[in-house]
Amino acid sequence: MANKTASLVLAFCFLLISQSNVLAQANPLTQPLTLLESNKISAQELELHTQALHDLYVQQIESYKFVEKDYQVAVNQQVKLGTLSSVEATLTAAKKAMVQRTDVLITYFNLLHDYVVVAQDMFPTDQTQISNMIIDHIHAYQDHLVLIAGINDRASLNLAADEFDLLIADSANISYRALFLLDYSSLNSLRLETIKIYQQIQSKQADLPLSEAKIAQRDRAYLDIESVLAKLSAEDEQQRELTFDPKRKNGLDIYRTGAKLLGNTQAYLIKTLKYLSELASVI
Amino acid sequence: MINKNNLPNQTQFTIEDPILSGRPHLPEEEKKPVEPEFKVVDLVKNRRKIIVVGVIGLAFLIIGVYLLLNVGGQQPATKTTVPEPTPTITPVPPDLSLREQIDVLSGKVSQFEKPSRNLVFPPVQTNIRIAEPK
Repeated sequence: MANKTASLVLAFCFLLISQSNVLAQANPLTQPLTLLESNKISAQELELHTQALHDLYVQQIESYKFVEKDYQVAVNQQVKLGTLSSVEATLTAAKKAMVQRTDVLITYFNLLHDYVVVAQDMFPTDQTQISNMIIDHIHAYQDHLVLIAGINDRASLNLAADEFDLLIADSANISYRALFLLDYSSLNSLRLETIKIYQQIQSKQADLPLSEAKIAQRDRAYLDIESVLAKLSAEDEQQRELTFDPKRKNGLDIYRTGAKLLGNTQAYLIKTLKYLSELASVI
Repeated sequence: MINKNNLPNQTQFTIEDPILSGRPHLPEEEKKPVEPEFKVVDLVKNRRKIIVVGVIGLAFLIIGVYLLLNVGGQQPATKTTVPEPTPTITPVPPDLSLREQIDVLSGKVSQFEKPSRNLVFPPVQTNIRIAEPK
C-alpha cells in the first residue's frame, strides 16, 4: 500500500514537472512577457522577441484573410441553397474564422505589450495599469478560444460571437490608450534629452569669461528657452491629465486629444532646439 | 484411624519432615505481559505511514526546488510592478560637441514618428454570425 502511494506521488510529481516544461517550451509567443521578466533579459533578446511576434502577427493576418473569405463564401452558399449541409459548412468556416481572428488579437496584444514593456519615460503607474489590462485581455481571448472549441451548433456560435463583440470593443479602447502612452513616452524621451543638453550648456557657460555683448545675447536666449520650456511643461501636464476611464471607453478620445498635444510638444521641442543651437554658438 | 494432623506427639513433624524438601520455593518472577500480536501490525503500519509521509515530503521538496529553479522569478502578471524608470537619455558619443548633439537631437525631433503608426488595431471582422436556415 505504502509503495503504491509513494509511486503514485512520485509519478504525479514527474508528470507535473514534465508537463510544465512542455507548456513553457510550446510557444513562448502565446504568453505576454511581463514587466518583471523584461527587466531580466537583455535588450537584444527583447528585440528578438518583439520581432518574432511581429512576424507571427503578419503571418496570422494573412491566414485570417483567407479564412474570412472562406466564411463569406460559405455564408453566400447558405443563402443560395439554404440546406442543412450548407449551414454545417458555414458553422465550420465561421469557427475557423473566429479562431483565427482571436489568434490575431492575442498576438497583437502580445506585441503591443512588448512595446509597453520596453517603453522609457512612461509613468510607472500608467505602465503597470496598461500592462495589466493588456494581459487581462490576452487571457480573455485565450478563454474565448476554449469557448469556440466547444461550439457545435448555430445558436452557441452566435452567442460566442456576441461575447466576442463586447470583448473587442473593450480591446480597441485599451489599445488606443496604450498607443497614446507609447507615443507620449517616445516624445517624452526626446524632451528630457533636450532639457539635459540645456543643463549642460548652462553649466559649461558658467565657467566661461564672456563679454558684455555675449552675456546679453546669452540672457536673451535663456529667456526664449525658458519661455518655450514652460510651454512644454504645460503641454506635458495636459498630457498627463488625460485620465483613462475604461468604463467610459475614452481610449480613442484620449488618443485623438493626445495626438494634438504631442504635435504641439514636437513643435515646441523644435523651437527649443533652435534656441539651444543659437545659445551654443554664443558661448 | 487417627488423623495425621491430630497426632499427639507434636515434635514428630519437625523430626521426620526434611528441613529443605525438594527445590527451594523462590518468589516467582513477575511475568511480563505478552505483547499482543496486533501491536506488531500497528508498528508495521506506522512504518508505512512514515514512508508515505516521507515520500510526500520529498515530492513537495522536489516541486519546491523545481519551482525555485525554473519559475521562481515569475509572478502573476496581474501583480507586476514596474521599477521607477529613470529618465533614460539616448546615449550620445562623448566626442560630439554640444552643437553636434543639438543637431542630432533636432533631426530626431523633426523626423519623430509615433510608434502607434506601426501598431494599428487589427482589421478583423466583428459580425461573424450564422443566420437561421429558411
